[in-house]
Amino acid sequence: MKSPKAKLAEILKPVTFTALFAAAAGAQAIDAEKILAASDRARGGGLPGIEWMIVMQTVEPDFEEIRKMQVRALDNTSLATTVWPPRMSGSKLLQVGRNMWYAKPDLRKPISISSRQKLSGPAANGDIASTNYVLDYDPTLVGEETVNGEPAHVLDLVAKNKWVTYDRIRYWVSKQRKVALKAEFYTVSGKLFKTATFENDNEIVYQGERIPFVSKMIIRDEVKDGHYSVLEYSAVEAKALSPSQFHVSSLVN
Amino acid sequence: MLQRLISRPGAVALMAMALCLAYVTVAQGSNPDYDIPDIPEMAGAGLDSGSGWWPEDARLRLYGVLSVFDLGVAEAGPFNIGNFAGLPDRGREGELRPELQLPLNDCTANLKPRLRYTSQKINGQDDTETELFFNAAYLECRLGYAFELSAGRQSLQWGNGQYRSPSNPFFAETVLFNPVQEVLGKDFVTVSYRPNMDWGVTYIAHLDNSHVDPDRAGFERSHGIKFDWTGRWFSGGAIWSKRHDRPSRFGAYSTFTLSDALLVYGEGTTSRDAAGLLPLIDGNEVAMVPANDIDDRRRSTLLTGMSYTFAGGLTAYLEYLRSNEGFDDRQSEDWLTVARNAAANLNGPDAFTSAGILAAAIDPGWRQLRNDYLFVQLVQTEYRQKADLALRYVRNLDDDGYEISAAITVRLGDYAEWFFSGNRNYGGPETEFGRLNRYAFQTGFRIYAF
Repeated sequence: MKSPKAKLAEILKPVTFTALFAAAAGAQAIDAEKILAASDRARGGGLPGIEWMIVMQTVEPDFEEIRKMQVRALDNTSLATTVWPPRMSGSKLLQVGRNMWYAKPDLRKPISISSRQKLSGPAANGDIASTNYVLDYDPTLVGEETVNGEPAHVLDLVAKNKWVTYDRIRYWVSKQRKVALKAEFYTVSGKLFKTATFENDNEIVYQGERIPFVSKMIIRDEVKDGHYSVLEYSAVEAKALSPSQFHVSSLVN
Repeated sequence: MLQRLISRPGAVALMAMALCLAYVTVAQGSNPDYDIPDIPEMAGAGLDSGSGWWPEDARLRLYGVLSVFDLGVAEAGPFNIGNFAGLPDRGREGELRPELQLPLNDCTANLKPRLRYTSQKINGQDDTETELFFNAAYLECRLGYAFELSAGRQSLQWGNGQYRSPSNPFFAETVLFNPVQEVLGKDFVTVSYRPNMDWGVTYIAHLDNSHVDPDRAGFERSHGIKFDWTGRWFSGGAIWSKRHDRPSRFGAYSTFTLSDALLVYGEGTTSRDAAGLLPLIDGNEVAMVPANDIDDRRRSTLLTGMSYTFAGGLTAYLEYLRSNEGFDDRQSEDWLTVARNAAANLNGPDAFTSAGILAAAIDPGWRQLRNDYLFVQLVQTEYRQKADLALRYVRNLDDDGYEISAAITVRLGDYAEWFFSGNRNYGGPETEFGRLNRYAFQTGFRIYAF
């Protein structure tokens, strides 16, 4: 006959196991979130007052174009101003939370656009803004792999809602540098439609910490052969920016 | 035979569209080399960086617009009998548009002078005009972290209505569809308080209009207070405004981002201040009179809309506008009677008075003439990376007249664009859309120096 204490231990055994499992899973979720948040910072997400330039080259079999934009980001808001080519110079793209506006420099009113509206080539509007995957996706740590000789966490990101540009992302984050190395973008049906690779040779200083920052992003269209965009990041600088610069009314003129 | 089927302007328009389609649908080649080439140095990429005397962040831009236009003037109805409105039937325009944005410590000076040359034919007579004006000339200054002051000629716009912007007491027209026309700046002083990115409040004083603005006649100063709020998936605001000693006006607008593709939005306004004229038929008196003199009821307008972006990038807009600011059915009948009566007396003893009444009937000053409008628009940007395309349908649901418009912009390298916009009005010469012109098109080039 078992003692009451032993009986209680037997009853609690599955509960304890479940609790331990849940705690482990929770810890893993927290780890995945921490990894994702750190990698977001290297793409401008969650940082106060930062500015950089992007040169974006779009290449298709019969088409090639270069655009240059200045991007300013404050917390989870970003403003991209086109400076090249001249025919687009002065046009602005503002993202505040899920809201996105586009304005041309001819005193017309800014129009609300969806993140799905096309920018150029495989790059979506959401790709040039600062990245805040930790707010938009539920991450799960699914393994470890090596990308170009660099050990990386593999994260499975599932969209928290319908507001985001991509439904599911498989995301490789450097174990040591906590920067994105590679990404695969999937549709709801699980079809791979875009891939991206990252280089992280820029650097910013934030709260005394040197943070690597993305220097190059190559986005390939996996459905249309020969379609890709190259985004080069330069002049990355922490800067005091006022909230009024990120208000939609500042886009009009 | 072909001439019987299609008008000359129509043929030109079709040829232009065919050329455009031929350009954007050129056969795709192949590029077996998948290597990513180096991005070239951005020589001449704009004066966007410090270079000695030129301030960092200063921007200078210069472009010109050259175009020709053709208008199918409607002269059959009472409103434009014998082209009473003096509309040009064809012409050409050239406009230089330099733009300077110059940061000066905590302030930024913005200058957009315009030099416009127009040569047109009105009733067979040549008419040329050269205009020089500032479409924007204002200084904005940051006062501390949260306050901002701006003064000068500028544009203040908000809301997401494509067809109209009813919540805005200063700018009703959006001109979003017109590839040439700009919104004319007006003279404002504004003081804004924005403690963070979530909300802000702005005091606005509207002091004058540009001398080239047709709304300058009868202008009255106004002021207002606007509150804006931007949430994670919502943006909106409300504005209270008052024109001189007239009743106050209240407006509101909002946009909900429901998914990465779907937006739902609305804009509205309500006031007892009526800016328009109403027809008056009282015994022998047939006239257009200020609405507030005979009917001071509250007038409201509500625009509701949605946009959806398909996977390929095509965005569809659907808007419905309901208003009691324009004419109801009885007032519309009276309005037609006033116009017919004035048109019939243009050559009579009261010709001068009749001309005044007819001019007032042509433009009675309402933001929209009737009560119910349906608006559908399809927009495809970056079509084959070469063109932006738009198709628009607006129907006046009260008189069943409608307008179909198309606009195309085709890129010609980094420094130039070719554009075409055209519209065709249906419904006859006594409907809102058909009373002045049957069709219009404009085509030309935008050329950017830097």
